[in-house]
Amino acid sequence: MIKNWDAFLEARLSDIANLKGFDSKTKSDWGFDKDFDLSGNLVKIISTNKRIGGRKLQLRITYFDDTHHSIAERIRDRTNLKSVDEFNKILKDALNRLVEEKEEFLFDKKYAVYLKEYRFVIVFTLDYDLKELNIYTILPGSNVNNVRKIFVY
Amino acid sequence: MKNMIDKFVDMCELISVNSNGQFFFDSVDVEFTEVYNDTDYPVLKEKMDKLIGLINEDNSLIEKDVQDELWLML
Repeated sequence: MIKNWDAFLEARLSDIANLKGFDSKTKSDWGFDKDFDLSGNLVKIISTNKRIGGRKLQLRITYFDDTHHSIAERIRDRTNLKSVDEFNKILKDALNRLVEEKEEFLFDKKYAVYLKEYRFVIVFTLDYDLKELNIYTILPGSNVNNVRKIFVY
Repeated sequence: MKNMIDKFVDMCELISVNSNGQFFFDSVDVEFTEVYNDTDYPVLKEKMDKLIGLINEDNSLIEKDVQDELWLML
C-alpha cells in the first residue's frame, strides 16, 4: 500500500491497482497472474486442534462469492500466494489461533485477521452456534476499517 | 487530513479486472476502507464510476498518472 503519496513523482493507475499480470497489449493476459493456480478448491471444512467435550471442534467454511465477488480471485489479486491450496493451509493455521482467542465472537459482526508474514487481511464472521466461519473478503496490506476487532498473527 | 485526490488514489487500490477482461471497482470491499465513511465518498464514487467507464473504453489509460492526468479527466 502506498503510504506517502507525495514521495512519488508519478504513480500510474496500473501500479496502484492490483493488476497482476495485466498486459494492455495482450487481451488474453488480462488480469491474470500466470503463476497463480486457481484450479484448487477452497476448503469447506476445517477440523481445529481445539477440543470440546473430547471432540475436535470442526467448522464449516463458507465464502462470500457471487458474480461480482470471488474469494479465489481476491486471493490471486491481493496476495503473493501461488495457489488456492496454499491459502487453505494458511487459513487452517489462522483459524486454529482464532479459536484459542478469548474473544466472544458475535455472529453478526465482522472481524479481521492480519497475517503479518503474508501481508494480507482476511475479513470474516464466526458463528460458534452454527459452527461456521464465513470468509467475507481478502484485503491487501494491513489496513481494514469497519470491523469489530482486528487480530494480528 | 487527506485531500480528495489522495482519497481517490486510495480507492484505486480496489480496481480489479474480471475474467472477461473488464475493469471494475470493488464496491463490496470498499466497506472496509477509510473512505467509505467519508463525507466525500458519494462524489468520489461517482468519479470512480466514470473512471471505470473510461478505462474500459480505452485500457491504455491505466498507464497514466492518477493525480496529474486521470483526475483531470473526471
